[in-house]
Amino acid sequence: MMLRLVPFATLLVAALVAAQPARSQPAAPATPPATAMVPAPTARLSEVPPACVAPEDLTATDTRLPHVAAALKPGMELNILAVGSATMLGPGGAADGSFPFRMAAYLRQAVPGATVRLTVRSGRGLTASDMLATIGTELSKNPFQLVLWQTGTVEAVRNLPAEDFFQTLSDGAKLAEEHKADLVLIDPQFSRFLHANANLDPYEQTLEQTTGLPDVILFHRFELMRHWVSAGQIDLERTVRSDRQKTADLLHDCLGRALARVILQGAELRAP
Amino acid sequence: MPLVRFGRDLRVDFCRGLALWWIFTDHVPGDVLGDFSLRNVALCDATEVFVLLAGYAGGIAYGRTMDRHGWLYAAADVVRRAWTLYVAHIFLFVVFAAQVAYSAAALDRSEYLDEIHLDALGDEPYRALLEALTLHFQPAYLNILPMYICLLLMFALALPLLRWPQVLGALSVALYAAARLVPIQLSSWTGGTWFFNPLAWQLLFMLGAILSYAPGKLPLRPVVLDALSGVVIVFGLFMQQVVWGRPDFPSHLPPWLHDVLMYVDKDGLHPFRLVSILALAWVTTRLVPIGATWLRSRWVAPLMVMGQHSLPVFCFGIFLAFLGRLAMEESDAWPMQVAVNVVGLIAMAAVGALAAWYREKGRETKRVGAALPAVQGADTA
Repeated sequence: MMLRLVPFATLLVAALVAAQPARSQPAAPATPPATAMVPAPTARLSEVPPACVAPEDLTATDTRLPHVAAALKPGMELNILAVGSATMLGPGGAADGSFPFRMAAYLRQAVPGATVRLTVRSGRGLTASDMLATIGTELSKNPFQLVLWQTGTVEAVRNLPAEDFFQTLSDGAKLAEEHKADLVLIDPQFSRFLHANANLDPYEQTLEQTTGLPDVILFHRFELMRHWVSAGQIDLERTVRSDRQKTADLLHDCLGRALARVILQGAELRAP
Repeated sequence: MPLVRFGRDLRVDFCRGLALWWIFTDHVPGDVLGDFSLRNVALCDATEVFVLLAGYAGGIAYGRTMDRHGWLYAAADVVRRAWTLYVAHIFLFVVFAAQVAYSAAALDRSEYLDEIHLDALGDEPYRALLEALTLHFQPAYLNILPMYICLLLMFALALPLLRWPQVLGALSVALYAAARLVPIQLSSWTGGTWFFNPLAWQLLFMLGAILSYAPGKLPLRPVVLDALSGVVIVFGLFMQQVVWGRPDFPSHLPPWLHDVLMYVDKDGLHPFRLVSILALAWVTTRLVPIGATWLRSRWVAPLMVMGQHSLPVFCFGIFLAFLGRLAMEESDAWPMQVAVNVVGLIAMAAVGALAAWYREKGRETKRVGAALPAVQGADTA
């Protein structure tokens, strides 16, 4: 019997004593830096579909986005960098159905004659510090006036230290400021599992805390999606497979609309 | 043949059964019963119940072994138990990974893998297997057993100190304080720390062991403890229902109080959680006398057999919880809610009953075997 214990004890000692190197960078398939010029959509931002209705305060902001305000004008060009994990890609993994793309399209609609370009750099399982590196590289290569940064889920799932998360976000905010870009943070999406089983609170609080920095807005995706679920408007987790594509499209459209509203408010522009 | 073993503190078995049931309901996202489990009304949840009672049961069982056969034998017995848990954990890891990965592929839901943190297994399968074996990689749901294994290994070393409960208590509190304040944490392969820090949680386990092995005299009059526990329980209710339950409430708090009330961590067993479970344990012992007749009724027998065979029931419960989740995603209307919860509870009780039957049968066979005269030469192996 004691012999059987030997491998176990060895393993355990190895596990507990040895300072193991952290896991190497995940081989996350980041999307190629596809920059797309975004056309205006046919649906109007002002005509809100019933499924997208949400309390005003979830999309209200007092923070100003000066760089967006300066660039989102007729004849001018707004360059947006969107960085995030899997949900920044649209249904089926395509960037052009995603909510950042929808948002960009509604911005384009709000300011006729303006050009809006969107670069999406996202991949599954990326942590905030992975994304910080991407933001740094992209900002040093091209000028952007707006950075969308969706993060927090991977940190919560892996129980990464919240203090480091705050440091990473602050570094990102500083980086954006240096490169004359406004920053909009986007929190995790609502899911019943994450809500009940992952410890999201410290990361949500950290994201909230970061909005104390200048020119940083937090887009409350979690609360918006939770509202739609509890009001029975959009519930992707409870959608049968055959309707899932349709519901995912609707969700991304609603999120894109809400995000566009936040950004137009930040730029002190009125929604059309 | 009775499946429930009497002649022991049935309150412990009942509460363990309850904790296992809550672990199931809490792990099915969208289960309405999950809104009524302990975590909604107190600052602690089923995990604290489970660990405190594991310590309590360990104090009785291994304390007795130590008294009869000495420390070395008792410690070997604890390590054997840890080994059993380890094997169960690895088996559960394989089953659960297969279950989730198959479901994700069949139902086209890759988010299962991301949420449960099995994405790392897909990215680097060989490395992930090694890290899982060394308990360095713990997907969601699979983080309780690694903590329990560590608690038992620490307990094997601490066993002789049960005879000096003050010393054990002081050392345990010191380690808890160091784990929280320094902090000392165990690292995880994917960059974070263990979901439950065993160096902090050992305090609850050791307290349970001390309470059962060396109950001692109460430092305070029972009425004083009643009052203190009452305050703690009301505070927990207030925190859950008001401070955390209302999204706009925290913004009205002054900053220092906000930080005190909003950062209650589970991984390091925050003092609020510790006090909460101790208060609940005290109130339970005051309200339920050890000989309460309802503990012997057939209505609570399912929870009893679950509590008396917690390891297989726990493992099966995790498997069932994910099936429950899949079912709830098809529909979470009340017929499905009833079906998932009834089937889940019956299945877990059935596993407990099966384990109980097997154990009793084994004992019977042993007794019969011992009563028979030994057959010459038959046992040469």
